[in-house]
Amino acid sequence: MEIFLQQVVNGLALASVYALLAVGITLIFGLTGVVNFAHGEFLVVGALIGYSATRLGLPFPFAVMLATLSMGLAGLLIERFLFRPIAAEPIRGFIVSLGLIVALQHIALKIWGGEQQAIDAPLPQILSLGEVRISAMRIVVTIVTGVVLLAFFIMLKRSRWGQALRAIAIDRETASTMGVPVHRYVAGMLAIGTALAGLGGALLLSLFPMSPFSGGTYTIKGFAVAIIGGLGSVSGALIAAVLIGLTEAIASGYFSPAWTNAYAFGAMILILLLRPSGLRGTAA
Amino acid sequence: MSPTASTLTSGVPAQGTLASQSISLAVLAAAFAIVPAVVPSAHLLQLATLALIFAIPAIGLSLLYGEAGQMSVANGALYGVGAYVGAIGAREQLFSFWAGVPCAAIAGALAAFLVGLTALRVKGHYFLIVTFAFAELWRICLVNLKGLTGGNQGVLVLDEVRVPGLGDLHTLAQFYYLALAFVLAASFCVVLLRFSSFGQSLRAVRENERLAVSLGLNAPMVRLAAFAVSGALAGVAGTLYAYTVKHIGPDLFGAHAGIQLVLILLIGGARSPVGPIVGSLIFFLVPEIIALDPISTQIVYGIVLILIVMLSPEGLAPGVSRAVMRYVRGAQPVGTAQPVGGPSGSISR
Amino acid sequence: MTSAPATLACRNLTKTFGGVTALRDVSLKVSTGEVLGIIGPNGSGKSTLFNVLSGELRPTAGEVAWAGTRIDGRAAYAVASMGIVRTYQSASVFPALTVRESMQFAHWAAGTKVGLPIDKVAALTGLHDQMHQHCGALPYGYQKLLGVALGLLTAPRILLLDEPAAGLNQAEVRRFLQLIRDIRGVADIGIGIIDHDMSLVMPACDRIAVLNFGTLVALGTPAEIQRNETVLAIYLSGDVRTDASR
Repeated sequence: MEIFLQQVVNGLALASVYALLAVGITLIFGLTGVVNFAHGEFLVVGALIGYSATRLGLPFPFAVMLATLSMGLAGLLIERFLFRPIAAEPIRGFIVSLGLIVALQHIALKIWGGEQQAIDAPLPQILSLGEVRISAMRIVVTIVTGVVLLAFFIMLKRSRWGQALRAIAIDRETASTMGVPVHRYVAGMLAIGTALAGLGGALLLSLFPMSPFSGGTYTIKGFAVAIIGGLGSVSGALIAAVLIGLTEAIASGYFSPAWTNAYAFGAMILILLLRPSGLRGTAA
Repeated sequence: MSPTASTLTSGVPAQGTLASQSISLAVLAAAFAIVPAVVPSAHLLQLATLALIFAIPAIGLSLLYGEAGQMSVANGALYGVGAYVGAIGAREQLFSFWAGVPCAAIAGALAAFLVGLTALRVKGHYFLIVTFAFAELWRICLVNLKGLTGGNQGVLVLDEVRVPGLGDLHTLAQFYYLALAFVLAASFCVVLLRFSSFGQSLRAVRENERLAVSLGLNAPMVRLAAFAVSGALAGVAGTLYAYTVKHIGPDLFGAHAGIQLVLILLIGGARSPVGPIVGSLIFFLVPEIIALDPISTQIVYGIVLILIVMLSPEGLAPGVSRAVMRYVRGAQPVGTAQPVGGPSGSISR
Repeated sequence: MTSAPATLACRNLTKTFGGVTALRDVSLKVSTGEVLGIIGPNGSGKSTLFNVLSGELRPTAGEVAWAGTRIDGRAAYAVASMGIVRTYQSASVFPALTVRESMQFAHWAAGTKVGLPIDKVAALTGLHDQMHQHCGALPYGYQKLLGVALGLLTAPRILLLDEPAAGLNQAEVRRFLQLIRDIRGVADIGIGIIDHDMSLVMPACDRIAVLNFGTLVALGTPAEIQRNETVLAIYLSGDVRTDASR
């Protein structure tokens, strides 16, 4: 039972990071139709920037903010110069993202090397609730992510900005003729997506070591979670993130950890076979 | 927005007929046949051999992507399926090279078929994601199933390739010609398919899937079949690689290999029989000329891929040759009219 | 060569998208040998009806049957192979193929079904001197004719034409009317036509169905529909062309 509770807590922290990834992916796809496979690289680069920042003496919260903002800026630049000129053909954007994977990963290798990098836990405390030992850092990660995503979700549903985004997702042309500056929203959304990925990476760094080679796994997990939740649905991404995070944590507690990464893919395949529109997507 | 219709593969000027593509292949065969005699170093010959082997999965992808307009990043992993089938078959003494090749073809086709089935009911961009997931999942399996695959250590191939009349192959030149033979066979297969009614249905799916379906074409099945063929070719190449290099490991066959194949098609062009071969050669040989360290080479490749798809989406070589043609035609005297009705020749038969 | 008429029918057909009900309890049928017109204001569910009949969409409730067998839920390509072919509101062609190549493809896609020969269909649709043109370069009116031609080449039993007159000028519409008459003359086909152009619908159709907000509000001969009070009320503020030039 203790193992179970322990893993539930671990799972929530994992789920938080997956949620940050998947929400970015699902929104970017919903708005632009571009499958951006480089998304995981932003998580990794964000983590490594956070690593360097803490090595240079910056307190952890500032390192996290630096990672988030720098990845947001990177997203803005990439949208402006790489994705926007070919926005009419999402498949070209996809191939651009393939090039980004290769380029970003190897730039990261150049700067940080191939070894896994870790930081000392910013909050080393471990809380004990009976037999269950919970690391304070995991709680912080979950809470920070939860707050960020909640704020984001509320903005999406309630604000004019969110309304505009949803209008663009439904019908880009009409939104444009109604005066919505579609380009700016798309750019903003991509930037927010990459910023969230950077945030997730920096937070993840406080829990696990990271290396430039991890990007692909996080990318595809982010996509798996987004698909399970239904591409384009933020609430779906959140639910699926929790499901996958908990599954991975619980399974790794009882089964061999080597297969941990396979569960998300297996779940994605199941969903595609049984209910392709995902948990919260609209069925065709 | 359909992930298949785009300036990447449609609107490309006519690639000729069955006859003209076969002739291009024959010319290429003749040119490549003299390479071992003229190449300055053994190292370059080895690179050329590897380039030829890696051109085969690229040729398979060119059928899927060039004709059907469907992109995939799984073909590096399918290449790996063939490699491990061949290598494990050798290790367990199940079959020799020549029996291993058809087994690898079947394995590659079967793997592609199963992967493609999951995306049968959904649109093209899901297929892309599934191919990426498969490539990653495959690598995880290779690393974890240590008993079967040797994990990170990989598999050693100790068997030889025995050619009737020549005995066991052991010189670099012999392996080069073996690879060349396979490349030409694979390329010719794809040329035949390209001009068959199957090829016509692939192009219809690429040009306007909705219309093709409304006329009774089972578009998902057609695409699945093309994917299976590309898997078969990748599988064959994998076994060839395993027996040539004699050692395989999991890192060669993940999503990155799949991305490299995309780059090769974008360099050489996906609509001609010569494109994937030329692209693969450039991919393998350019780093030799530029002499950068491996990591910087990859950075350059990433940037090159981005530049090509943004500036010359139908491919670097086709784009360059079109520019050259336009320049040449521009230099001709007034009165050299183009036949009415579009580019000469036809894409389909 | 007229065999017993076969019927494409929908019964109690309902289709919802999220909160929007596009079709509500619609029951209609079109048989081989007859022409059924489907009219109604924009958004009344006409295209959705064709999308469900052709298998591109699944009904939320109700059923679709062809020659007595239920076909709702079958894949679109399977429905097309059975002989139920539709065209599209905005011209849909294979841009890089020539007209002849597209027609050859349609013939090939028909498999073992024996349809009209290419030259006959080309003559019928007036495309006989465009055969070498690349479809992407064809004028819009010809692209729409090509859509019908391709459908004809697959030996259809039922042809569903989705707004064939959209984007055509008066002369082209008259031509289309003649085409429909010619098709009836050479083949035992049932035709369903969605359109707003009454100068095409009224003369071409044996019966006309009127949809409004997804419901079938009237069904009858063109004369009956033109006198029908409900229909007239719907069209008082409509945007349809009502020039009844026959």
